[in-house]
Amino acid sequence: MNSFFLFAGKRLLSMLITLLAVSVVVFAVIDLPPGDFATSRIAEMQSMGQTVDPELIFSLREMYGLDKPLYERYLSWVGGLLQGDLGMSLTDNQPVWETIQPRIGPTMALAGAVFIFSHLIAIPIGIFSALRQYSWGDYVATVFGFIGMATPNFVLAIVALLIGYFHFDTVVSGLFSDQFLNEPMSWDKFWDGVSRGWIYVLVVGTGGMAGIIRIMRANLLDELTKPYVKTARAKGMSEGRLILKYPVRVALLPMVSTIGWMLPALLGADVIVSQVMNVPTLGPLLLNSLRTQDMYVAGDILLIMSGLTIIGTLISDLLLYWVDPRVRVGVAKEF
Amino acid sequence: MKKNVVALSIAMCLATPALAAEYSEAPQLTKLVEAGQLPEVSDRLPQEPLVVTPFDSVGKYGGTLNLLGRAPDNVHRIRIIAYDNLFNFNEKYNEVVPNLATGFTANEENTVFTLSLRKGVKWSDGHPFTADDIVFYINEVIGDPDHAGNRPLFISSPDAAKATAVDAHTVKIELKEPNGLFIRQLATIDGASFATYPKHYCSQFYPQYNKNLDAEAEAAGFSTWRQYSMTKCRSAYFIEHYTNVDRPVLTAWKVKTPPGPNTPIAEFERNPFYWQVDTEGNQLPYLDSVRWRFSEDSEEMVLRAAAGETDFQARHIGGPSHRPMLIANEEKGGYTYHFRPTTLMNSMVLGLNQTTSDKVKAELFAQKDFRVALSHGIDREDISETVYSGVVEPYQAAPIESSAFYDEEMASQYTDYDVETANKLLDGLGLEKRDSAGYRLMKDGRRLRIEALTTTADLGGVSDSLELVKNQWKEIGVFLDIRVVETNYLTSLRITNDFELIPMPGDGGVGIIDEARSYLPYSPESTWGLGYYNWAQDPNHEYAVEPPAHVKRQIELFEKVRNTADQAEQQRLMKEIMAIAKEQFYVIGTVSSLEEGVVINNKIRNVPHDMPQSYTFPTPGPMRLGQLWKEQ
Repeated sequence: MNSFFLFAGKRLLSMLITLLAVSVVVFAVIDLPPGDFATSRIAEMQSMGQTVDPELIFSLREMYGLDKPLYERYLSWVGGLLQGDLGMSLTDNQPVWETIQPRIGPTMALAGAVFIFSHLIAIPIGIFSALRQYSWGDYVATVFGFIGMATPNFVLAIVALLIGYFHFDTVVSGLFSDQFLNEPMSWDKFWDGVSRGWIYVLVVGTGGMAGIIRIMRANLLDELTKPYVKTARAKGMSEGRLILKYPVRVALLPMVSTIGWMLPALLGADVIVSQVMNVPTLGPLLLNSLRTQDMYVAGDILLIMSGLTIIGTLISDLLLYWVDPRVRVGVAKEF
Repeated sequence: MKKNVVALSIAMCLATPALAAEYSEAPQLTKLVEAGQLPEVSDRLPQEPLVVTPFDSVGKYGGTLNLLGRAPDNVHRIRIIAYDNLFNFNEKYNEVVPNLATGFTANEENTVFTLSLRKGVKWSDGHPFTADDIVFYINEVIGDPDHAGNRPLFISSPDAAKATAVDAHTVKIELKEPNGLFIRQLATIDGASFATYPKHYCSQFYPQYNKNLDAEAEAAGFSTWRQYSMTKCRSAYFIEHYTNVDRPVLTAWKVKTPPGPNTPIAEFERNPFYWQVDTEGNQLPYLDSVRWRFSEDSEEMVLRAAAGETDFQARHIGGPSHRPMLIANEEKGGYTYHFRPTTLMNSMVLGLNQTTSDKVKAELFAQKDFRVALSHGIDREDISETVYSGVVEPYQAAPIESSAFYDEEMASQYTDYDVETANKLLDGLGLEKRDSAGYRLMKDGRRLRIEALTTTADLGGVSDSLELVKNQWKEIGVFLDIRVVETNYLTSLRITNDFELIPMPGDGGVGIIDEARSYLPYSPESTWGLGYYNWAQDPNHEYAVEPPAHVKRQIELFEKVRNTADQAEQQRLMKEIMAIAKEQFYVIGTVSSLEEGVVINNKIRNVPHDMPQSYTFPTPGPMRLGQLWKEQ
């Protein structure tokens, strides 16, 4: 057990260092594109038809502190972060947290639902495909998975919207019905969200399924021919129990070790779908803040996503530690 | 010219005010009055309320105006909610009419304007609107050299105007430079900020009125009082003044739920102190509230519009690509798809930047023959057929027929597709050498390549037409390189005058004096000669380029337009400017512009049908939206 805490502690420490490094990279990368928030504000006004005096840019820069050197802006941002202050959103002139916070709940709920949905469907299909390799069922499952992967998610989203409009006479975009939009969260509102959110889950979920199906199928096929399976079978173990207890468990390992990447991938992959379906997740907010070069909102969201990746990796490590005895042995040797 | 003071009275299109006792109000307000939460309607209305004559009928109170929009689009909200300037345009866009101001006098030099304000108008919190509010805005808000919000373009520097209150309802504005267009400019969207600064509220965000401001700003999480102040009392361009629920307004509706990243629906509610009544003495507006449903995506917005979720809208959904969907669903959505005459003169104009930093190209672009050749190289019928189903005509960058400046010859010059003439003209300019791909070479041996900058946000019509022009110009050996760039990058290039061509829709079909960007270096939008514009503002400007004689003459003439208030004289001078524009042919036009499509819910009443579509105007603001009502 001692080794476990050492293992986790070491992981936590490296997490913090990684986060710090990520924050530098994030801030520098956001600053890379030409222009800044002031130019984007002026561009926005121009694109809406306003005639703007370009000289305005200088007073804007001064007001938002954009004329200060990058490192100074970075230090004040990170300084604030360490005190739990995410900074001010330039676009909305309110603390970033207030902008982000209402979106975190729906984002996590939807990402979680997509994760569970796609795994619940894809893992059994993958197992089936491996056990019945080259059967009709295998082909159907494979074709289904690849169609889901090959069709861009936003196209599926548009198709879903059009089907909703032309066949059911409703515009299904948005997470909540209009009457709940400006209301506080309640059970009714929650169920309304669930009753509309499944379309989003379906659209985003089908996109990721093919990958899981293929990994599951390939891994399981590898395992099925291994000697331990033959041994167990020879010893008269029932087929169902055998498959689930040994080869499936091993075949799941790669999935477990990449859970860390699933969290940010779910947050990132849905940007366009959320945009099209008008779903209030962090995705469109990130896209807009990058577009308007609102450094603090974009930086905070990216940092949160990196934080999730790192936490996810930690979870994978811990899960692996639990699932795979070989990891435990390796860690024990290390210390 | 002997008169000392030219007294100009604007047509007083006001009916005799109804007697105070006859005023009536919305039932929801009557309830509040009875509960003692509001003063009587006669006490809320000014002595002489503005009387609006409804287009169709006197309305019934109640209902909500439902609209679709994009959260950051303040322009749409200005058009619907916030067009109550000191002076307004009428709905036909041919006259400036009194609004919050009832009249004015000006001195002969057009430097001193004395405005009389409507007596007894109150802000939405019941506080009187007086000359002090205007003085505060001019002297302390935009008069502050470090002011970081927008200034109106006609008061572009802090010392350009000074104001004094003569009495509570009379304000004297002294301008540094003579400006005969001042009153007209007050009626444009650029003049909207003048009536949006309630001194009694906004002064608390200025350090000269509030000693504790720095501490308060810090407590609210801002690093400077300016940021704090700009959040609480912004001017109209910058996330409009109605993001702050507490800030009093003079408009028909007042924000209740401000737009924001987490507000899918913004709500505006009736201003109980609104100062307009209909011909029967009913206080406007009729509609209780305005609701905006925000979309992140324009396709989704069109789908919602087709489903009947918007009551009265052209913004974002009026483009040609959305038409079939919206027309097909008229019955299902319970609306009618109408057309508004456009004030655009062209669907796309190509203004080659004659002042671009590439000297060889700048010299080439400045040659009239070069521009004429390129114009002959465009097959306009092809553009009309391919992009606009053939419903638009070949058209040069010139005023449209409904304008006083319409000139048939200007509108049609160099519009015929004539590759031979084009090639001859280009050969004549010393561009006869060609490279292996058939493109012409410039005198320094480089391929003749024109870089057109567009963004993904560009309207479908412009980018589609541009692709056609690219193929057509290939025939005459000119390489049009269409580059889709990021909007911020485009802005940076614009500011440093480092671009060759920014194709844009052709503003300035009617209302030429308000929007002449294609005819002379008129504004920063005159991208064909941005260096000239900078020069006209300040010859020592970092990106100024000294203009040739004919441009200088135009700048001089336009100075004169500003220096006179005589409308006939302004027209005469402007005609002279337009004659030079016609002769010099600065900007290449393509085809005329489509009318703007408007979705109007079948239950909405009092919508005028011949209102021109224009930004400077700004449609539909001048119709006075307080008179809109909804059949229940």
